[in-house]
Amino acid sequence: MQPPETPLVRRIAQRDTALRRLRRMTAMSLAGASALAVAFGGLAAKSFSGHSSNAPRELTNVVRVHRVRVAPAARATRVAARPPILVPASAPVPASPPAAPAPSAAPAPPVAPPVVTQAPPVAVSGGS
Amino acid sequence: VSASFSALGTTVTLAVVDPGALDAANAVLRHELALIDRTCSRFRADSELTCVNRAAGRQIGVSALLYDALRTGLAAARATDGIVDPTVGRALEVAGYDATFSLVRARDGQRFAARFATVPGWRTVELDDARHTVRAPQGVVLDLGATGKALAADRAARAAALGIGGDIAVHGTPPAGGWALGIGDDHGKAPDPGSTVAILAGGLATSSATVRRWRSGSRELHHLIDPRTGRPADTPWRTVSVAASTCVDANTASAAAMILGVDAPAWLAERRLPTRLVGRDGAILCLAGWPADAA
Repeated sequence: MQPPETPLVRRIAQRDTALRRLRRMTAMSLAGASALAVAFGGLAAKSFSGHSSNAPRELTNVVRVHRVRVAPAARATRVAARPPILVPASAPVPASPPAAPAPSAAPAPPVAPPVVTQAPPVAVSGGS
Repeated sequence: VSASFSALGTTVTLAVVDPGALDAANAVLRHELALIDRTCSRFRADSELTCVNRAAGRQIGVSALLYDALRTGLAAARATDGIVDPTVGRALEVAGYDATFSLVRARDGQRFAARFATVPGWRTVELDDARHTVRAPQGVVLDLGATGKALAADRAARAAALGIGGDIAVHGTPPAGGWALGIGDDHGKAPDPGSTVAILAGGLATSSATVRRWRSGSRELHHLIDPRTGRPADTPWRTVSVAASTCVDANTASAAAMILGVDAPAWLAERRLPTRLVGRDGAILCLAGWPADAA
């Protein structure tokens, strides 16, 4: 024989139903967040040139990108740092360097332009 | 006073103001050039550059000198938007420049068939400045012929005027009136009449398509490869001479001008580089303060 359905019993049943629904939603949210984390992690791993999420550990080091200190004649070279390991010859070649190019450093003009002279030349600048 | 000798496949001329300094400067220079040759030659089986070219895509450590030379070559490529590119080595090889030029010149050109190759581009080369390593993809052959001699001149010119082929660097206190330098198609011959100019500092370089030429059947080819086509540049200029703050800059600009062709005058004027261009017909165009030839 069931107990008579009083307002108190009805409210308790409603509360239990709401709690079960909340637990289901929490579990589904956690599962969704985990799936998204895995998906974006894989995407980020593939976005680094020359690296693969399936590659051995030594090939998955993060590539550091930084500016080279250069002499005045060779300013503005930006290159990609690589891990200190030999990469197999069959390793994929990146289509483009991971670093964005720095602004061009144009050849600089001399302090003073050449002037005509009648002095005998000490050397000849010509094709070689 | 001056001294001349052969090195790096060309003629080297050293001039100093103080006669007593010539021997010491000469010794330092020869040591430096031998080092450059052992390090940067594309034709020596034992050079560091050859090791890099044979690394087949592996990353390898290099000496400070080769690293500097590679960095200079890549900087020249960047400054010219890839017109002067160190990755033209393979294109040069298949076109016929696959050995020291004395051997190339001696070959029977009628029986040689040149081929042409796509230039992979300087952006495929990776340098690590912290570890001094370089990595070039498999199949890329680096050639430092464009900037290597100019870099050697800049490094070795100490209180002197130093000419390596057509690339001249001057450093230190100049003689009265500056260092007098002749200009011509061939650095080994007499300069063009009235072309001699004086500079006080920096570099002066000449690029020409008239000297390093070879035959492939009925065609004549030269060493200035246009990376956009993988073929010797089809240029209206016979010879281009540029003065700049360094010999590397001058060489980069003169080589770029030869390859850019009709676009060269605007490119040079925009950079305010004093330049003398000689067309195939012998007409001379002077830009950005380069003086007209003396009558």
